[in-house]
Amino acid sequence: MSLPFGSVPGYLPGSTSLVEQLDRPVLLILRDSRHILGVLRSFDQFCNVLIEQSKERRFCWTNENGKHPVYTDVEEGATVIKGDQIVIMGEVDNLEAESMGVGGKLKKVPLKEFNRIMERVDEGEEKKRGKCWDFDTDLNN
Amino acid sequence: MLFFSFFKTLIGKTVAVELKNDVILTGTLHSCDQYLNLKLSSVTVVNGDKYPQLGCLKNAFVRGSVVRYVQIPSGEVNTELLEDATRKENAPKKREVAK
Repeated sequence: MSLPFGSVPGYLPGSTSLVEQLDRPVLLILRDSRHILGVLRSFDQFCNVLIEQSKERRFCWTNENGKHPVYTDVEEGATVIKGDQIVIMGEVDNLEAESMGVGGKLKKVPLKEFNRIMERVDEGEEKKRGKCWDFDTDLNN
Repeated sequence: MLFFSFFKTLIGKTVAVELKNDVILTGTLHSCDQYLNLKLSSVTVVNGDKYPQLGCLKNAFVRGSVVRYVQIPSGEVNTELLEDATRKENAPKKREVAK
């Protein structure tokens, strides 16, 4: 089901654009750099959203074990996310979104292995890579 | 409301949105709202190799509060119209005289 452009009532402030994303798989990027994948079920005028089948995708870019950077999914079920924490919300093709634009170079690992990799990784290097998404540090600069 | 109307005139044009964390997104402006939240279609990240996670997005909704700049093609802006609208918006309002 897709709504034709312009069919949204104009009196809904702040959230007119999100109607077209309902029931679609989305990727949310939050202020603390977390990436959440899931199906958008509901939203309100403050951009608070309800995501079903939500999972947090964690990345490790400085993986020394293999050459590939790895990721893992932490299943969460249904989540309500507060609007002020949202940076970008983008529609994806499907919930797996394996490639995420890296041309298939990302390798999925189970959570336990991911945590093991994270323990061995150089914190400074990983923070440098991960820091680019962390909005909240902007306030301290 | 002025910039909301201004962005509405730019719907369909290509813009570059720079966020407060220095990520720059390029895309076609699809829609906007009174909070200046923006929706971009055919979105690409300018420094794509540094932020590869966004390569799979078809479109992106960007919350207004995280935008630092919106770069627009200079040919699309009618500066006279914009200046007139600014003057009207900031003109002192006439006070009603009670009888």
